Amino acid sequence: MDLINNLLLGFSSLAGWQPILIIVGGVILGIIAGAMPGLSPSTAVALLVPFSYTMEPAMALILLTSIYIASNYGGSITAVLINTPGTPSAAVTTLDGYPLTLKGEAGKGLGTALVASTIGGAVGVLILILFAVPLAKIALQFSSADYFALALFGLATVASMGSGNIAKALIAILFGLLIKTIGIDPISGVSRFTFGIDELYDGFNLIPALIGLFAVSVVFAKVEEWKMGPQDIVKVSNKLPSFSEFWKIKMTILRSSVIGTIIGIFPGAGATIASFISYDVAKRSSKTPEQFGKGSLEGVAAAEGANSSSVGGALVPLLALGIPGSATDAVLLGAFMLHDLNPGPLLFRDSPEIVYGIFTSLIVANLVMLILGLYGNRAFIKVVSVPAKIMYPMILAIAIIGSFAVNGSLFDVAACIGFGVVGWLFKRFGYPVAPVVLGIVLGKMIEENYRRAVMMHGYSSFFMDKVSLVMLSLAAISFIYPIVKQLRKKNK
Amino acid sequence: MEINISEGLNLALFSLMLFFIEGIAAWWIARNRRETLGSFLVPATLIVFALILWAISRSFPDEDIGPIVIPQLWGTLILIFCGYVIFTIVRRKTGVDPKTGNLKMLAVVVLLLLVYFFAMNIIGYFLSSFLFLGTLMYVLSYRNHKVIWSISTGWVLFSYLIFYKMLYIALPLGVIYETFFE
Repeated sequence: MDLINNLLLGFSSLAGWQPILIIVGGVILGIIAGAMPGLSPSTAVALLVPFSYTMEPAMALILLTSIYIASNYGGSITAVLINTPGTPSAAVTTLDGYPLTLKGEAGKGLGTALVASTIGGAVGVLILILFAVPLAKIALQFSSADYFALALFGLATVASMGSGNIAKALIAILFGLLIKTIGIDPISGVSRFTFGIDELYDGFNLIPALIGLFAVSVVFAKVEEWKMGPQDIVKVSNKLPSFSEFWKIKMTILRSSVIGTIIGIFPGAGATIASFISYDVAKRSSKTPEQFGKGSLEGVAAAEGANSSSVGGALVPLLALGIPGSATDAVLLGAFMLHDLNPGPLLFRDSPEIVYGIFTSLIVANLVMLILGLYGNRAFIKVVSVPAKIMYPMILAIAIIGSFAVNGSLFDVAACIGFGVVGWLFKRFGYPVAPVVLGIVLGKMIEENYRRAVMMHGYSSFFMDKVSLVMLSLAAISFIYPIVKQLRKKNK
Repeated sequence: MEINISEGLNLALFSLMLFFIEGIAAWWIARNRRETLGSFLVPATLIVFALILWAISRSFPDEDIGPIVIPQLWGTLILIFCGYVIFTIVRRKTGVDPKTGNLKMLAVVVLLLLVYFFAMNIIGYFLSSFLFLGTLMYVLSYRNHKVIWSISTGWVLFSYLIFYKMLYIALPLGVIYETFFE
């Protein structure tokens, strides 16, 4: 009963035009920021914190969380249309989103991303409302061995990305993992492979690498192919997927939403890992796995459902225990403190109108995102009608400013160009680039938790802990199964 | 972990030796199976890259579960899998390289990108972006001058207003501007 009363209290705080306008404004800003490579959700939220200072605490937090949830969807727009993920988690969306655009079905790609994001966001919020406190407590009991096993489970998804050549996919992921060892060692503080270059002490930044591997490399490949007509897309259609098409992928959306929320709850895991794991699970359970990577609606839905629902998951430890699980949550924690609020169990007791105001505003923000997305998609799709001779220089200009914007460093721009060349070479010779990103994302998590677990409890810690053991077994199965399947197929 | 001069020299010699061996292997592949030269060069270069990092990592403190463990683990696995890919090439179990496209045009685009990158430091982001966009569209044989001018100008205005003014991103103004106007 308390929950229903609190939710009603939350909805009552949204009465009037002001909160709705704030949500609409937040969603628009979030979509724009998400679509802009180089502007991460955390940057977008951080930029708006000073503006929210003079607002009432509830309104300020509603604005910031609306930006947060919408920016995750925004990243999919450029991922689908120009193969440039606006946010790191949208890297997985490019795998099937961009092939849909090349087939002239950009509307289907964007529509699926939008609906999956909306449902994923709603599921994440629902789980947040119902189970925030108990889930946060479980997540905090996770040991280093469990985190290592979780990361290894994420790594095992590589087996489904090789498009027939697992050895090349493994080389790609190992390249990403090796790249991630550059910089200061997270445990001993020793600098590794930095060659005295100051910028390398923090290692390569993910965003420039992502932009280079996905966007710049595609421009290079197209220039080499010398297809400079009005792009090589047959006919651009803004037609959304039909109801029956959505119905077919309903389980994928729901499953990826649950996966995204659960992974989002673990501090440090985040939307990108959630997308990769969800994509892998969707491919394994699909009736048409051969369509993945060629423009599968299931692939887009799996990636987007997971990354949007992870927002709800990431808010669980923040709101229930005051522990930020991601960079954006850390910024949000700062915003809470700016308004003299301390997230944690006491916040639920002392200021339920704020907590439940955020919950209900997230539900409304999802609906607003759906409406704005449906209308906006028609305008976004026009981007792909632009002639390639204009489009490719623009993509390169966006890539350069996006890489620079992350840290205000020209080194990141150089890294972006370098990764562009690597991405072009990799794609040219059949090495998938998504595993490189996965390696960079998971590298630190794997190394830190592996070494910490061994130092504290020895090698047995991975097998003595039940959670770790289950996840390691799942990782082994999900890695070996596609290989066995492929070998059987070859033998036939 | 900084490397001293003698270690640096050894490393340079070791790297040169690795590239020399890669060159000989590439020459052998080019003579016997030219159509797979590109497919060979990618894993071979990754092997060289992994070996160099492997050699550098030997200077890290050799503790139990220290900073040396993970880089060497990834490096070793790269050696194994790249070795396997090269083995399939040599044993003719792999397909041929993709057809080479317009590499000249690609080289021009990469060169323009590099000039743009270095020019940012000298003439600043805004002027170099304007020149880069205009030149690249022209190089890609787009000839509508009105569109070229308006897109280049539009992008500079957009990046100035949104990134420089609104988001306070300190885009490089260039040495020339900083010397004479600041």
